[in-house]
Amino acid sequence: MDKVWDVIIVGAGPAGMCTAIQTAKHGLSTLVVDRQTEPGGQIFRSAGSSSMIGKLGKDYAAGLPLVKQFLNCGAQFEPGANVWDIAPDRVYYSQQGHSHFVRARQVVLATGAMERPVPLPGWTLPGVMGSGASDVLLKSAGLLPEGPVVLCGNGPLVLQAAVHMHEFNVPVSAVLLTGRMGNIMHAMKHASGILARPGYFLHGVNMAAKTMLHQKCVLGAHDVSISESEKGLQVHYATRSGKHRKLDASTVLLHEGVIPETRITRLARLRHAWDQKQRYWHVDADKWGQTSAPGLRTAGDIATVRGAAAAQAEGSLVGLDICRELGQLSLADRDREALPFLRIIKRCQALQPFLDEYFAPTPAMLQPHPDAIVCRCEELTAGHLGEVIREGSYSPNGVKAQARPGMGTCQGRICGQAVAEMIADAHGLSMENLPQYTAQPPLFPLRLGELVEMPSPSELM
Amino acid sequence: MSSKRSAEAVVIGGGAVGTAVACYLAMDGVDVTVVERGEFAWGTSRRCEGHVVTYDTPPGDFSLFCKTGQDLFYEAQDFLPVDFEFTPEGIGLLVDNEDHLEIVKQNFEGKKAEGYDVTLWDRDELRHRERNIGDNVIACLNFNNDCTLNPMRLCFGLAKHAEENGATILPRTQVTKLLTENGRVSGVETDQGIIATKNVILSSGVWTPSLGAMLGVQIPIRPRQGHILVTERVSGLLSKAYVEYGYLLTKHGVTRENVTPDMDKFGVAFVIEPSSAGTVLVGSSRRFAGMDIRPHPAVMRAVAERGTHFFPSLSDMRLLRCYAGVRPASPDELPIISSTHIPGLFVGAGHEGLGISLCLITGKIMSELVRGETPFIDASYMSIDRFGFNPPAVPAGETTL
Amino acid sequence: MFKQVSESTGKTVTIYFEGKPVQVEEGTTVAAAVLDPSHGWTRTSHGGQQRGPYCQMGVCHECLMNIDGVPNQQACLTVVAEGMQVRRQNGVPDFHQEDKNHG
Repeated sequence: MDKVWDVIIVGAGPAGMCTAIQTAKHGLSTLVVDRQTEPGGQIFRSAGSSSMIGKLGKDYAAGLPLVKQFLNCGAQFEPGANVWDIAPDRVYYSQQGHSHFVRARQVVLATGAMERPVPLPGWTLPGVMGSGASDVLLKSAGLLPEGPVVLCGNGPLVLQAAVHMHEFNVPVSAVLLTGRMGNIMHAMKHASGILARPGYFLHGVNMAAKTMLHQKCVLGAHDVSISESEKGLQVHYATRSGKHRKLDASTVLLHEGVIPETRITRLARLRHAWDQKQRYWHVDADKWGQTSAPGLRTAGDIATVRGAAAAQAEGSLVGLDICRELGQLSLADRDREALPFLRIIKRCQALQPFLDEYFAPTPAMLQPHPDAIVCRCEELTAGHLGEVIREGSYSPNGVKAQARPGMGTCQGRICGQAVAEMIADAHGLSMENLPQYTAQPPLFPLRLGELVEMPSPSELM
Repeated sequence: MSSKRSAEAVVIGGGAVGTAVACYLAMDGVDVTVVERGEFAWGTSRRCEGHVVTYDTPPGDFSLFCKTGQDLFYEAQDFLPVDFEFTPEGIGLLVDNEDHLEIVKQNFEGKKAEGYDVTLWDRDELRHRERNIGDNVIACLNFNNDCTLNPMRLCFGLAKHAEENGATILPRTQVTKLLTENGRVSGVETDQGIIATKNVILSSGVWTPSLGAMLGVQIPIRPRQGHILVTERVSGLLSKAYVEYGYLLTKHGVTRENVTPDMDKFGVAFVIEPSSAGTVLVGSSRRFAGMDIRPHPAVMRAVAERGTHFFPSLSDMRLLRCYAGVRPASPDELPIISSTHIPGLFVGAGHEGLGISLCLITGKIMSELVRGETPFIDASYMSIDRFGFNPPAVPAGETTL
Repeated sequence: MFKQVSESTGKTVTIYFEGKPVQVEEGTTVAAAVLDPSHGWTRTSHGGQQRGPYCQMGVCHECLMNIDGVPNQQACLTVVAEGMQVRRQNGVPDFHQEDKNHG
């Protein structure tokens, strides 16, 4: 317990692994904790062991050498370690039913992003899941739905899922695309960014073309709801021209883009900023990952969602700057070693405005139907929460106090943003003025007995 | 809000005490405005357990004061427009030390003589009622009229009822200055404009001293931090709220056995309450730590450990969240319900752990003070004058609207 | 409901879902392992609704199950082990019930 690590990294995804590779290479004692049993995060989920590694394209295949490099870099990796509290110089985590606290000179949060939860009627039914969930099952267990599948949403990951379904012969009833038709007009203003990453862009176009060619696509689908039927599930939607249609499915996959999972950064009481284009809160950090709390940094999608390539470069930069701060690298050496990573980030940033506009969330999707359950844990519908909001609640914390959304087991991860969108709409407030739920420890539900069995950290007060 | 408003009285603070003061003033026909920088139940009232208790005091004047204050809740549940999850199931005081039994019995007899509904369970009776109780608990003194409620819904209900009786409710409004004219209160300046008024009531809990300081009134209230653990939903653990008897004893200088150095350091005493939602609240700690309300794992751990001493099954329950709040503590642990030496400036604050218990009676008395009436129950010993920090307060009955 | 598109590694373990044996690949999460036998329904909410895993990555807590007698475990973060007893988490954990389970 007396040991003080130079660096503790929370999360062994693309960003966290790259931070560790840098700090370990430069001689810093490095501990990496992750709640999964293998490194990789979600995008490279199970890349080190998956039998799917050669079958899902080169983006996923790139995870294998990275995972290998990470496991051999000299950093200590603690799998299955669920972090439940943090401070700039310490991390508390639970592993196999026992809690530990470890100290460090620098702590890096690289815990990534999650799919934006967009409540709609019937999304709590068994058989309905996030498109990302299906992706995890495919990578980690080689599982795909038998079908028929209805894919519904907006964002590159919907197209990727559609391509996977086609390649593995999964029947797809339809791909309901909920993005606004006008987005492309706005996006074209940033078309020059395409030149920065032509390969990435063409890959996207290719996925879209394959989807259009092989799947029944409905552009501008809206008013989506899901109900149970004799055959399984039934998806109801309206077309662009307002016609109401129905589809049968055994599995429905939803996806409305990706947002940073900010509960850990809110728990650390870090400063956040609102991204108006992609409509999400993210931690406010500079390119070296330095947040508003000295000693506490972030890396990867937890700060800004830009995908695996950018996350790896960001993670490397954070690692290099830690090496500078802890005296392992001079400023000049840091800058020299940072150059290739800065170039990657510059290219990613150039294309980002195009992607942000093209896949911008559809405002109507963000205002849930009154029948939709918004807080899944507490089973609170949009209709009920809307009443509470109109009665005189003006912030997520205010609604939480009066009606309990966010007080359940998921601790507000699922309903937080949806509730804020409802308040913004009802009272004409800007999202920037609606701070998210206050996050309290523990970060995950923790057995009280485990807390008691942990040695007292009272000397750390 | 328009740049200029007026009211007969302005209450600063939308917690349990502030909304109760506004509610009684409005019911008594006073044109009152409530100013709250956040929303209703934004500070300590959303970070507490919501007990309405009479167990906390030795027999005497203040004990009867608490009982009268509690009776008002039984009335309020009929007139408040919001279900505030009022649960009059009683609260039990758990005894884990043979040496304390004599004091417990004296307290029991004294409270009974004062007309309280109290019962004393022995070990067998307690085990029969609470099968998950720890083996070391030997008796339980029950205050059968004590109750629990949802403080956030209570504040909302009080604010709503005040509004229905003509009050103006201004959430998300920050006070920037208290205004005077010829030595008496003349208005409140906020970030949303000025409210002209001749009466201002400071019911802002731990934030009251800084408001008083605006007019040179010293209000001795310090923030005393407490932690509460909230478990996941569970059924069958316990049937009502309990507190460890040792908590009362420590307040009166008796030391407890079976406490760890951490428990001593953080002032940990056991409190437990099943919430209407099915979660269980476990508390609490009691220490001065400034305005810090970020829970600390060391305190969480000590609170959990104390909890498992009384209910060992708590070990197997999962903790969903922990929150900390700061109680407004006065030097003698009595609230300040008082006029001040500045005509038109009143203080209703400093209730420490009794803010919920005494919010209604504070509201009722404050309405009387503001309207120049003599309080229906003696509250003279709660005057700010008892500290001797300020010139003598304007006597009750001499203030006028 | 779900099909295997990868080749089997040949290394399997047997777990029990609601008492019935299920053979699954080593290293699989419980949430993935019970997708088919549970028909996607892995818990009942406190209000009585049928629910199943939504995110498969530890965020949504919809996959709470009773694993080896311990209630409210995140099935998507738990890896299968030989002989594991997995049951739906029906409603909230009951302390009287728990005592019986623990014998």
